[in-house]
Amino acid sequence: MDAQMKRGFLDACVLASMASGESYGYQIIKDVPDSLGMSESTLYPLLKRLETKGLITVRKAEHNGRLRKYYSLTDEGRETLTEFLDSRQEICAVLDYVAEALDK
Amino acid sequence: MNIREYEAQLTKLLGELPSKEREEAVSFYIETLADRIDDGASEADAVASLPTPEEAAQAILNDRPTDEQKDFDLTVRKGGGTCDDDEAGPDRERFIDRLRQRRLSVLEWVAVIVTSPLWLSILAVILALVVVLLAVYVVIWVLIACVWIIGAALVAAAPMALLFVIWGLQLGYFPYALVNVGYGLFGFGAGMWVMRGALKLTRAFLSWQKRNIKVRMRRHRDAPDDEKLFGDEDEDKSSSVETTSAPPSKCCGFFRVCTGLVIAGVACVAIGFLASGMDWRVFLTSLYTEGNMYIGGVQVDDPSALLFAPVYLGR
Repeated sequence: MDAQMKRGFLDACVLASMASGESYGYQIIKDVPDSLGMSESTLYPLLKRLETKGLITVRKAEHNGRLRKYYSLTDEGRETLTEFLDSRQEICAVLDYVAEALDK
Repeated sequence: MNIREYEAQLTKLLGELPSKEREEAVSFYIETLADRIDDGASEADAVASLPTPEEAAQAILNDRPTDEQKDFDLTVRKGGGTCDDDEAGPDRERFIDRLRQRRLSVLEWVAVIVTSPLWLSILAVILALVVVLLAVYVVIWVLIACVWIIGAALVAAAPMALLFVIWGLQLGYFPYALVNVGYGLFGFGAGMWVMRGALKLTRAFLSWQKRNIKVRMRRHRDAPDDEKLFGDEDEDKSSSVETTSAPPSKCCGFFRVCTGLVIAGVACVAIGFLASGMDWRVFLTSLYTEGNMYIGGVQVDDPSALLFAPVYLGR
């Protein structure tokens, strides 16, 4: 997938990975679809950005004798995710248009 | 590469970041490494599956928000109502970090120095020094004034002693008169000598003061009207010449006269004392004790008969 297109989807996917409850770095990398090519270098800045925007919150908790950071959605984050889903029609319309254009 | 090496290399590559930001980023990578190992991967595999330290560092450094971006983020946060108290934190931290690494811009260095609280204490020290210097200056003048007063008092004793001499002669008590002649001579000789000393001290201090101020002023401005400002320089020079080179004979003559007066005074006192039959009361003059006047221990029957005595006693 194109890097520019990926960026918008990545935000949504990372937010979605916390929709059912808090998650942590490695879990998020595993959860996000492979097609987006998520790695630590992509995730770390992205989480920072989402946190700065107030879409997620972070807490530290002990796990296996070490500290692990857990991320969870804020109400605003959940709202952003809903808005993203609302654009499903528009995205589909764009894809349909491109597909049709190619078929012709 | 093992975890420690990965951590060390990433930390080193993020050297330009503030320490807190750097630690946060490194701990994120180490956390996912540990999670991969917990998930069953070997340490080497876990490290290999991560971006290289160079890639990680580049991604972190590239993504640091610019100032504009930061401002935007802040407004978003404020709008969202989740604003924290430590918004100024990262900026300050970054600044302190750069300060520690001595990597500030010239303007920042100037600001750091100018706004340093050190200036307050330096100002206090300067103020204290000025006060101390002023106090020392005043004390020097007071000491010089004391020398003048001592000299003047000694000289002023001479006419007083002369009056007592006249009273002694009027009463026919000659040893007392002689002792007072001695007092007068001693007082005048010693007083003149002390006052001469006071004059020299005053001149010396004045010229020292003038010289020092002049040197300071010259250092600051080499304008020719310095001469006008301190036009009395020549006068000063001539006076200093007078006091240092010319007067030896004059000074020695003066000194000899004074010493002569003092010795003569002491001799007169000694002779008067012997003439009185070594009566220590010869030294005393009691002008008003319980309504009576005693001169050299002898009560005066009619004080009003003495020269100026009624005026002196206020009658």
